[in-house]
Amino acid sequence: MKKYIFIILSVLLLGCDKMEDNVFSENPDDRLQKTEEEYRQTILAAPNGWFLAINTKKEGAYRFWMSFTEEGKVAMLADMDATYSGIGETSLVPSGSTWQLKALLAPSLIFETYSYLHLLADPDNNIIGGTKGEGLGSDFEFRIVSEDNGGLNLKGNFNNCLARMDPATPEQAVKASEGGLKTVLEKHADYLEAVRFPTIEVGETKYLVKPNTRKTDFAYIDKENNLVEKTVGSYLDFNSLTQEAFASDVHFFEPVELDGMTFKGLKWNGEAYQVEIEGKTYEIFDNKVPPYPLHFGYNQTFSQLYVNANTMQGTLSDSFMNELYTPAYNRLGERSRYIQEMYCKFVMDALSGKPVMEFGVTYENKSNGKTFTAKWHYPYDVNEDGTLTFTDREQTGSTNEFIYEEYIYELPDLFCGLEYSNYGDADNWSQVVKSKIIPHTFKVDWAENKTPGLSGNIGGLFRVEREELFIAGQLKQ
Amino acid sequence: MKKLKYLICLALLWTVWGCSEEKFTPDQYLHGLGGEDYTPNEIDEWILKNFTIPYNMEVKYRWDQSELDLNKTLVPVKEDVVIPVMQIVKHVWIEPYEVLAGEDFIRLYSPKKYVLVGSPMYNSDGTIVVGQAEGGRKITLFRLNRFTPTDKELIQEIMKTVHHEFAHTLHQTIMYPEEFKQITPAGYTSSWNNVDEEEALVLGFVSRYACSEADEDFAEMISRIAVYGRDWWEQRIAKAHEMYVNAASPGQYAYDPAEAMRQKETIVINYLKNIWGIEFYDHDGEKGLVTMVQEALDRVLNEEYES
Repeated sequence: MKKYIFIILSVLLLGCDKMEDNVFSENPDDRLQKTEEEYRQTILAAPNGWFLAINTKKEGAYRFWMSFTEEGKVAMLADMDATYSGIGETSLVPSGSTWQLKALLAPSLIFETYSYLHLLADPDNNIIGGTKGEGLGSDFEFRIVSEDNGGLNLKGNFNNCLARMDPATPEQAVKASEGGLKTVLEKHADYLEAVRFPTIEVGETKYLVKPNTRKTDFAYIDKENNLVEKTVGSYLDFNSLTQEAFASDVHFFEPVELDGMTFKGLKWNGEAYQVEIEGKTYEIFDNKVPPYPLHFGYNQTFSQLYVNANTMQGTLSDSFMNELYTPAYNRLGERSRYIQEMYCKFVMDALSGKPVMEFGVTYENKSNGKTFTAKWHYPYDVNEDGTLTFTDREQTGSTNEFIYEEYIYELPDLFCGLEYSNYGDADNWSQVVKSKIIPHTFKVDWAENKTPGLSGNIGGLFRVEREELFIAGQLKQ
Repeated sequence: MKKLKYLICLALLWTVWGCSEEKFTPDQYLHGLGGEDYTPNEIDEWILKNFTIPYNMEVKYRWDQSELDLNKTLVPVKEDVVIPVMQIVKHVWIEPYEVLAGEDFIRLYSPKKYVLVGSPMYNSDGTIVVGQAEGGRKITLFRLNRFTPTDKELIQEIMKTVHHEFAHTLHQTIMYPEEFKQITPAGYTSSWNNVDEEEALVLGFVSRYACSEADEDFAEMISRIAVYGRDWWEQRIAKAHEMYVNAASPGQYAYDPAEAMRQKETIVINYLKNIWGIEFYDHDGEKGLVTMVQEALDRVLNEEYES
């Protein structure tokens, strides 16, 4: 009996009508078409065109000014000519593509034929650079993620590059048509030249916030004394062109989290950039040198320092040039040997098992075109206050060094002076007897970069008893 | 028990009555069904007139990632090369076959889709792909953004690809004789990119890519001879023979590469004639495929065709 009731119940249940229960009032296809049509109308409704900024994987932001037509054509200008030569005047001569909105995984805006936008993604690295087979890691097919403040947030379908579209104002459109995409970047170079190390100070910590033309760099020293570095793709708006400001506002593709703070972008207040963090405004000032301590020494962040006295005019001190370099250069020059480069390098000394500072002077013999590097090793003590005292100096053994040391002695003497009792009678270094050792103490610190066009991290060794007597150079790891 | 039977009958009736009629509406709108929706421009109209209507062929120059390798960085083609490239394809590939094998030949056997890509496709081993065929259905041409109408070398490269891929379609439809694979079996290698042109020649191959496998060898034979011409081919054979004769030591080469190349050539000639009724070389005063392709190339380069 129970069995039959069970069968009856099963049959009854099977007969239930399956009702479709949609969460939305319309079916997906209708909704998709509607959304697509809305986006189409938005894109077509910008009378002065759109600015599109894309954050490429390899080089940060590139910016375009675009005008879309109902017939599916798009004309654009681009800012690539600010960085690359040989690709034509992309900021003045328009390039065209066809465009479409398509329902892929999400409603997507596709630039269908080759244009400036595609230069960035071209896998042929002879076109614009980047990696062979990948280009700069860019996109030309975007899903529309959201709409806000009259603009569109996009994400690339292939490389997931973030992109942002904002409608242009009439003034911006005029500037863009006159090559503004390029000039705004060129103008920004003036800011970067004037403010070498843009820095904010929050509490007792200094943070480097450096808005480069296509990305913004952040750096600071955390509580564990580690250097923390971050980079975000960023682009400049047209304020420096339309409002005649010295610099344009800087927009980040995504907020940057740093030491518990969120950075959303930089605004130019007429005199300096400012950044807003949790309702408070901080002004960016020029710290002249990086806003964190330099770690230069054996097994440190940097262990080498290179000096090219010809290309570092202004950064090297007058004392260094007049008292040491020029006399040495001239005397060696009289023997048709010309100093090209100098370096300080912290290396392990195999004999003593202790690190030493190696000072090298590279000079070219003009008569045969050969170069030679004279090297000296300086054992040193690290003092309690972090300064270094170079306690002695050894030549590294070559005849060439033995012969020419007397003509350039000011340079090796900078770190530790030596007097010899029998230099004139000796045939080689091993016969020389030191009669006096004059050690010097040095402070390791950043040096201010005062040479136009010189880039990189500049550090120096400053003699403690005479701080204006220092050797400065480009730091290497 | 009887009551129960009634109950079952009643339940069944109720069940049947309970079935609702499915409302299937075939006219329901499906977004994107029926192809892409764009305003045709002059390129679209040219393609329609020259490829789609006469040959039922689609020429895709608008970017569509789904037609391509999803893991490869590629970029679309420049609009201004689409018509010139496809015009050359028509003159140098379609027209010779139409004359030799009849108007319906291309309609029957041609791939139905051309996909045009601007950049080359890079392989992880550093080689690049300039053309691809998929089961006789689709031909993808890469690297077209480098095209200029007077660049003979590049035009030959493009047309070599087209003829090469179509040769695949032919042998995938009816296979070439098995003997072809037995002529230089030891020469086939997957690391063909490490073989240079001279090494390939001395092994009896028309090109380095021909060393990759027999199917490629076959397609390379047809496409290279057609696109570079019979004189070029004869010079290659002569050079191969010379290398064989002037070998450093008598036993250096196991066989005469020129002989192997001649055997392959004979198979290609017979295959095209017997299977498809196409003369490869001039015959009885009639022009063969190679001559027609060569003449079309000359006319393309001298801009003798109306655009």
